[in-house]
Amino acid sequence: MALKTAEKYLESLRKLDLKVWMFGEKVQNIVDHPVIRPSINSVAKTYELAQNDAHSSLMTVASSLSGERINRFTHLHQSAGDLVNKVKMQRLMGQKTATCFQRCVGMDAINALDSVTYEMDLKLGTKYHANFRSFLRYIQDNDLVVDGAMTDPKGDRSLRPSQQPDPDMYLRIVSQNSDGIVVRGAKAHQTGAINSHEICIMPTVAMTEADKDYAVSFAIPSDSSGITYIYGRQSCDTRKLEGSSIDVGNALYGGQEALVVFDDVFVPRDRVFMCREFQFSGALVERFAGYHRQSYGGCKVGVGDVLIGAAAQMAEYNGAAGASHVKDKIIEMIHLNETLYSCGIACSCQGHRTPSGTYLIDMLLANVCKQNVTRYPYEIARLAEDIAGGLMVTMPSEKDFRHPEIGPYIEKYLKGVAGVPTEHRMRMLRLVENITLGCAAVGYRTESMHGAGSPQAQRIMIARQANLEHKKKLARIISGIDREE
Amino acid sequence: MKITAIYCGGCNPEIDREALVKQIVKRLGKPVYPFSPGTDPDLSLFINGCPRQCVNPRTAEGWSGKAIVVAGLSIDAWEVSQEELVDTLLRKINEIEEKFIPIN
Ligand SMILES: Cc1cc2nc3c(=O)[nH]c(=O)nc-3n(C[C@H](O)[C@H](O)[C@H](O)COP(=O)(O)OP(=O)(O)OC[C@H]3O[C@@H](n4cnc5c(N)ncnc54)[C@H](O)[C@@H]3O)c2cc1C
Repeated sequence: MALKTAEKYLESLRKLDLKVWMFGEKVQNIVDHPVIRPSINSVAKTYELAQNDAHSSLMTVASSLSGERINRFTHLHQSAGDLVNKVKMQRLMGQKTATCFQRCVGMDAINALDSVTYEMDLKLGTKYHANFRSFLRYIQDNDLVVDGAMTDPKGDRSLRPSQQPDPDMYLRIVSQNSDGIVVRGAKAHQTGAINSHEICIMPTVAMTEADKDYAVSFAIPSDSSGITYIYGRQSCDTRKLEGSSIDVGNALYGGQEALVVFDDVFVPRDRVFMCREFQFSGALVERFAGYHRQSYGGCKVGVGDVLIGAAAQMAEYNGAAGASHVKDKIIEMIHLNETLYSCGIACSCQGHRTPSGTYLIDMLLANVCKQNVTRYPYEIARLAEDIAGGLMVTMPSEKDFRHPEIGPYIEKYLKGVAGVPTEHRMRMLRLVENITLGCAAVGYRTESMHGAGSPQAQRIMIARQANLEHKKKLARIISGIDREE
Repeated sequence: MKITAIYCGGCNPEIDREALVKQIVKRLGKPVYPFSPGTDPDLSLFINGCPRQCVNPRTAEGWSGKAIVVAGLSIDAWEVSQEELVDTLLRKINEIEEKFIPIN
């Protein structure tokens, strides 16, 4: 059986020899570190729900490679239905964790690499697809987590990789022999990297011939020699060190990002999926970004469900639920959230088969999906803050609340409607704070803006994908300028 | 070799499907018949306006012979540019025609 339990996943992380730094210190035990553990719990949830009868039909699927039941996060989409189920699974995961659960980037990377390596081999006579498929078979058989690592630090944004004053601003091949390649550089913002068994590298931009040393893709174990992880700070992260369950807002789950440095790391030949084939770097970037832009039509919607629920609950706790403007604001939040979901589902339904057999989303609709994601979560968050009230940012700490001397003041003065304990009101306010301004805002807000590419990247794709000439022709026919042929 | 064209509904095309078939007819110098049950073609061209492939050999009924699927700017799932579309389709048709052995 290919499926791991959540416990086995935690065990497998303990066996990794990762070099992780946080707050200027080397982390000895990542699994039990209070700042890291919530992010591990989020990934563990992908294992737990796969074993849960009430969710396994969505979370698992028959592998197209082995026929075995596998976690959907390791699957190659074989139909438009698979693409739809991917989005549904992501919404479910967002609902269950209220944060980024980190396993999507790897899923999107493997799906992009499958079709691109297949097409590259047929066009250029290379032999990467077999390497990729045997890597993926290993991932599926062992139910592993893959970090999809695309974004380079990029230095001066106006310069191409080969023009940068420091050549390491984009990850590159520094040497090569018959056994493999040696790479140097870094990948920034890496979601769930420290919770991953494997790290799968892709180029950030379409490369030209001058940049061909940067046109590189491969996968290696996350604890390979020469890799260093520097943990990313999140807003309010040190609250996790205080031992409070209220002040963190979401005590169980969290997201994670890291700066990952590759200091002359050796990659064996059979793990290389692209080595200077700059002609295919653009297709890889585009397809990965397309899948990831689809992903946000699921994961952010699930987190949005929790935030809408928290806002509606707060309205009740405050005694404002009956006000017509509050009801209307909640309707608006639902409308925005379901619009995002509609985009995620639509680009999946309109997906199509690629030559390797793996299905690709509709690119135009996936870019429209993500463009909306760069806006609507911000508006949903604004409305949630409106409904919650100012206390979400001025409330005293849990330690004060528990204190025998001042606690009773808080109990008395922070009460809302009768019948609802003050503690419930405080917990709900902290959850809204967590998603809109705290740790989970990293995923719900800024990742909605920049993850899978900043807004302008989608607008470029929308301009390219939309057939404006067809629309102009339609107008000429209807207005009587042209005749219908 | 008898060739037919099976069109998708054309709701949101990124290519001009009819113009494409007209150009193929012109360059081939022989007709491409519209599909109807009983046409019994040797080659069926599935002409879709976008990559979605709403008409394809897996979903269409009553088609026969060999199949080529045009779906927006792709032929048999391989992406092609607007400029290459007609030539690539023509080349595929010619490849099939070269190997074609008439039954009678
Ligand atoms: C929470 C989070 C999680 C993420 N997870 C991952 C992950 O797991 N894996 C991964 O690979 N990446 C990940 N990313 C990275 C994400 O893809 C990038 O943030 C995104 O591509 C934007 O890059 P950047 O952050 O360097 O911003 P920049 O590229 O610096 O963009 C900042 C602004 O400058 C503009 N700009 C940049 N370059 C140009 C130019 N040449 N010309 C004109 N305008 C320009 C942009 O449009 C934007 O408005 C994550 C990001 C976030 C925030």
